[in-house]
Amino acid sequence: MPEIFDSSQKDSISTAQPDGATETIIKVESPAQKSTQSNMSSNNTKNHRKVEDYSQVMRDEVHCTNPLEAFIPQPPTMRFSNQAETETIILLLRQHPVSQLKWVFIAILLALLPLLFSSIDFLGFLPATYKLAITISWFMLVIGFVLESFLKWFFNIFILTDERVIDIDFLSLMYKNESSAKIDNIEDITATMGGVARSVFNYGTVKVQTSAATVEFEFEDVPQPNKVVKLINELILEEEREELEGRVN
Amino acid sequence: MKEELTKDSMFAILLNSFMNTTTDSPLAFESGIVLDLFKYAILIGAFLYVIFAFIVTRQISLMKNTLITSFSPVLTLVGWLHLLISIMVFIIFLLIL
Repeated sequence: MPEIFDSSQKDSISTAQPDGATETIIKVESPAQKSTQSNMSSNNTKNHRKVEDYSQVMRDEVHCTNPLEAFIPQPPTMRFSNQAETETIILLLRQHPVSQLKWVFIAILLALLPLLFSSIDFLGFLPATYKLAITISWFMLVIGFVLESFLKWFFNIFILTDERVIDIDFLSLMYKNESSAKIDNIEDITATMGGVARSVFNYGTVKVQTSAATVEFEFEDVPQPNKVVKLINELILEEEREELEGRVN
Repeated sequence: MKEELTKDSMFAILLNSFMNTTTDSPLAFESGIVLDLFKYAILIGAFLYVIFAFIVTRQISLMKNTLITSFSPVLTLVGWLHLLISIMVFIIFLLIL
């Protein structure tokens, strides 16, 4: 018999961390614990329902077409390399722009440094051509630093599809890491927010623990972590519902 | 008198061989050897930067296949422009130094 799962019926444990951070751990209960008469028999014929049908979070979000956003619900023009044809991107996440201000400030300071040295005439002993070459080299290094930092931010992404959680890490120019887990393998989801900036700008870390003991996905400094946790939870419930209703492909 | 002139001219020859002719600074620090060191350091740095720019271009082309977005063509263009500028800077350094 099909069942309805209500996200409010799950165990939700909130703990206060010593550093002031709040941590929410949501444990997913077995579907057998909840049995309610279903009114969903009409959906049995469908293999996949639209995400708005079962997700409160996605109902409240509008489609985002800006590829430079940090929180992109249902991006219509985005795909990733290992995406299956039937798989739909539900949410694409990057680190919150506020968490990137550090390298932006460093780049501005580095760009302004030659102005400081020009007043001291630090390279006064060198001919003009050498001074020019060193100044150009310096600005090229700054441009390289900005470009690499931007690429790290842009390609360091977390994708939630209706089937999987995917973490693509662009750690450096020479190293890339891509890992994924099926949604029905997720066991624990933890959202952590701590510190002034995270509280003010509403971003934090979401940790996803899969059934494999060592595999843990860590989405660092993503916007609206509580919403992300709620969405993953809704996706887990939908996966379980699909399994019960025999809508699994 | 003739002996002194010879000494002076020898000293001038030695000094000229040591000093770089492109500079008119009176400091001995600006000797040709030191300037050559600067020159080769800058040129090697610029060459390494060209390699870095090339790696950036390759990485962009790899990553744009990993994540396909409407912004990918812009990033590709930026990567190629960056490589082009770095090559131009290297060539300019070769010419002016």
